[in-house]
Amino acid sequence: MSDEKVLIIDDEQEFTQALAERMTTRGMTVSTSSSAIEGLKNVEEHSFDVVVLDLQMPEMDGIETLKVLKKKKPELQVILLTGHATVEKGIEAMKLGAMDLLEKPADLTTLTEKIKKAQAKKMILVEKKAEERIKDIMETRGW
Amino acid sequence: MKHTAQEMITQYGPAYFGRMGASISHDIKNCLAIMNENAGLMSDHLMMAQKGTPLDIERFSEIVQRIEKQIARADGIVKSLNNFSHSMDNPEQQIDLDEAVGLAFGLGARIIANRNININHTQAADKLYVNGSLFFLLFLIWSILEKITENLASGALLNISSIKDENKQVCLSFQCEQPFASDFGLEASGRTLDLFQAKLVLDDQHNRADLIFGN
Repeated sequence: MSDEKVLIIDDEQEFTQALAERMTTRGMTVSTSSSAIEGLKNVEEHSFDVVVLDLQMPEMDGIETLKVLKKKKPELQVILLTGHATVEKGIEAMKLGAMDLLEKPADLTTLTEKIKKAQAKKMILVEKKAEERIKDIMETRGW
Repeated sequence: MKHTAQEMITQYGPAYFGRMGASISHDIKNCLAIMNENAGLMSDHLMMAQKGTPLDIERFSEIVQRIEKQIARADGIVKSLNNFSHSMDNPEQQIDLDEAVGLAFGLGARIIANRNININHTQAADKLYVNGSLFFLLFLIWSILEKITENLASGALLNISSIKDENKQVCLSFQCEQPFASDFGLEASGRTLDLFQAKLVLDDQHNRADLIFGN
């Protein structure tokens, strides 16, 4: 399986910088964005398997960002990171399609495991989508 | 209708403490998360050194500095929390207005930051004092700050300055290029104004509000 392509979106730049460096050491390809707007632009321009997203950010919070991300790229897997996870926020995030929600400070081993699972889930979704497309082409063209 | 301080503490105290507590704990968690990742980075570098990669002292020193920075940040946050926790100790005291503004803003900084509002606080040349309860002064300043910033567009700059007005009254002025909400009726802060014999004056353009203290 190829390296996990991860985007971290968090306004705490010293956090993203250190986390990205540690994840890179563990074989992942990591990009960072310090705002939701910048993160969404990054997702438009590049391909990622997983987005690690902060729940509370200026301008656009994690829940709003999650909605946009899932609308733009439904197969993209999102793991939310938060300073304090309320049960309500957790349920809302899951309903909107987040794969998981972790509390800060997060354990890197746990986060890495979740990223690997998220990447595998994304691959299945992408393959399923490709199969459906082929099936659709075959049916419409009568092959 | 006049309300006693005790009635107001019962009615608004827990909500204000809760809101500020949530804001502060979120900031502390962020500091801990940064320290956690940087401690992890140090551990990674040490592990690589044990396997024979020479330790980059300069890089290692940078990581230590990042951790020290976050310790200082967390210490400042906890100091604010401590001052806030003691704000109900004295029902009547002489309060440095600019210190109170700094504390009120520091406590709710995360909420303001999430609205992407920039605040420029200009302190008075000479210290200005207000008499009363620190808790209620913080609550009053925060209520106004929260209401004002609620309707401002992202990226707006709010100027706050403490001055003595033409009548020699202590005044806290909130100004912005954008207009504030026209509905400036603040139920909770309206009652708190009575405790300081203060009034809140909004100008015609709705982009300046003066909190004028009577005592």
